[in-house]
Amino acid sequence: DSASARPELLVAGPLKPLTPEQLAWSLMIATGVDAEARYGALAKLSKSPQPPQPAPPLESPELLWQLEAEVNKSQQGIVDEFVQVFASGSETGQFDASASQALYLRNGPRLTEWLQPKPGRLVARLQELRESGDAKAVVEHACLSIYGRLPNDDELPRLTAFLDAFGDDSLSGIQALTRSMLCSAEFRLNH
Amino acid sequence: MSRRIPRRTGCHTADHGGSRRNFLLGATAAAGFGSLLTPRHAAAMKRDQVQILQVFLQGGVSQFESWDPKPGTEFGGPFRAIPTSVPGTHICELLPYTAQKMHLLSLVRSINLKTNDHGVGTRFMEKGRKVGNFPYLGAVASRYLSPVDSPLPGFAHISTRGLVEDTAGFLEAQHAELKLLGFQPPANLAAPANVDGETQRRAESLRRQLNEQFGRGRARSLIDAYDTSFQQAGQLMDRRQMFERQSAKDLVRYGGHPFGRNCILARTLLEQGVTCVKVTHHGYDTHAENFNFHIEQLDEFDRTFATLLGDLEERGMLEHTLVIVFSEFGRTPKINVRYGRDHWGASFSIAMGGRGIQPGGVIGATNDNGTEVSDREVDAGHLFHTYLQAVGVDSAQDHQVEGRNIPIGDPTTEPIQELLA
Repeated sequence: DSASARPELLVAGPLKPLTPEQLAWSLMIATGVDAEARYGALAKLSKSPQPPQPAPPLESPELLWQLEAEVNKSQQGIVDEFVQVFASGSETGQFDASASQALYLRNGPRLTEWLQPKPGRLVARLQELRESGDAKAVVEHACLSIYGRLPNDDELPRLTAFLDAFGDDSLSGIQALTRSMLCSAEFRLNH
Repeated sequence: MSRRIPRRTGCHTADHGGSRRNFLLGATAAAGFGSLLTPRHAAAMKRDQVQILQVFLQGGVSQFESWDPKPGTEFGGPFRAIPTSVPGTHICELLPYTAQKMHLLSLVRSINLKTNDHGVGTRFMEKGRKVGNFPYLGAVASRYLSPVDSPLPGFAHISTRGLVEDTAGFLEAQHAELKLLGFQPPANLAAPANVDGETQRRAESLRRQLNEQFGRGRARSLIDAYDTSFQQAGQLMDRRQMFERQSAKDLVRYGGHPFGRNCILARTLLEQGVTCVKVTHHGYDTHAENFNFHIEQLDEFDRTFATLLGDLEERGMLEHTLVIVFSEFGRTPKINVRYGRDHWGASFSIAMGGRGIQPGGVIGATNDNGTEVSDREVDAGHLFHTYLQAVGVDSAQDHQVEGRNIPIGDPTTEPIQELLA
């Protein structure tokens, strides 16, 4: 039975690389930038500079549609930027990866800004958990936010140790952790 | 009243774009230098890394205005042929500096690709096959000539256009070309201001560990391709000095134009140990104003290329560096109504020299007015074999790709033996 099978005998599902548009939105959702954009769009639609937070659910399909349209409009420039960097020239649309794309993710100002500890963003939430002294909660929240799953038995001690290595400079540790996870193959290829 | 002809002269097919590499198959890792070296090159390989410099004159340089002039003939055009440093060998007067270096080069004047298409011609000249998902010459060189512990990409391509090509074919992604957009450093080469070196090292190590864990039980090709892109990014970050300011003396010698600066970078990359460096000089697709454009283009090319060739010779690098100057085809003998020459793959020329090549030779010939090959017809399959044999890779052997044997060179063709040193 599958419970007793050795892991190396199991075959994982096929990899599904994100399109440039999917990558942009996935990064925005994971880092909390998407939530910021939604809040901004809601403020614009409700003509209120500070709508209630968290926002009440929008019941009207028309309002929901307007909100989605406004969020897409506000973030279109970012999505276009990702298309420019990550679009494949392949006639078959097969996955490709270049050094320039890696440099964009590793060093580029876009992701660097998204990893600033602004209220509501992933890094700020992780920083709060870190300050409460619960390293396990930090790792679990990071994995759930980025991979959509809990850490496995190998990852939990490894990622906790990674954060511990930064000592008092917990912000640098959290930013490095999140960037590494966002730049990992699991995020890029397995959504 | 004279009609003003737009300065844009090229055709505009989608074939200029090419396509990105496909990651169809993984392949076994090369152990050290590849195992396909011919015996006489194995000893030399231990002393020096064998390298390749490709100078690609994109769009199709005219053979009449370069390597195979036909002055005074029906289609010869207005330029003279001039003597070179090789007695009896003449080339077009638009290449006076290169003419003085012809004792370092040989010419092949009898190429017939049987295609007039940019994309087909480019891929044929690079892969040695007209069709199929085969790797480019630079990718093959990267696979079999790069030291296994090389910290640099095996194949770098300096171009001023961002179009990408499918260069690795069925080889590992790490052998695909690393595209450099001119001599400028790639964007985002510096780490974010608040991230120190130790943090970068830790983060990159963690990313690799995460990928390693994620890759267990999965097909590796996509993961390896993605991982390779980060490795190459790290290699570029570690070698930022390659892109730092070029010396005023070199700028004067090579010319301050982009092609000159790209050739200085090419020399630096070769000196740093990149196995195959390709420099593209764009703008030879001269469907209109062929002669004026060749004056401009070859004025840039000639002095710069001759300077680069001279530097390689002076530094002893020609002994281990194969130099190839090529296009995807030549240009029509017939001059069209816009004073242009169109695509012509039926009878054109290339130049090569350096490692493994007998210098000063001329292989093959075209007829008196240049309309067809008259002697020793070859195609890109012959050239591909010749390049690889010159650098010591036995092109008659097979790539080993996941249990499959795939001939490195087209088995229906063979090297041009009389060119090999």
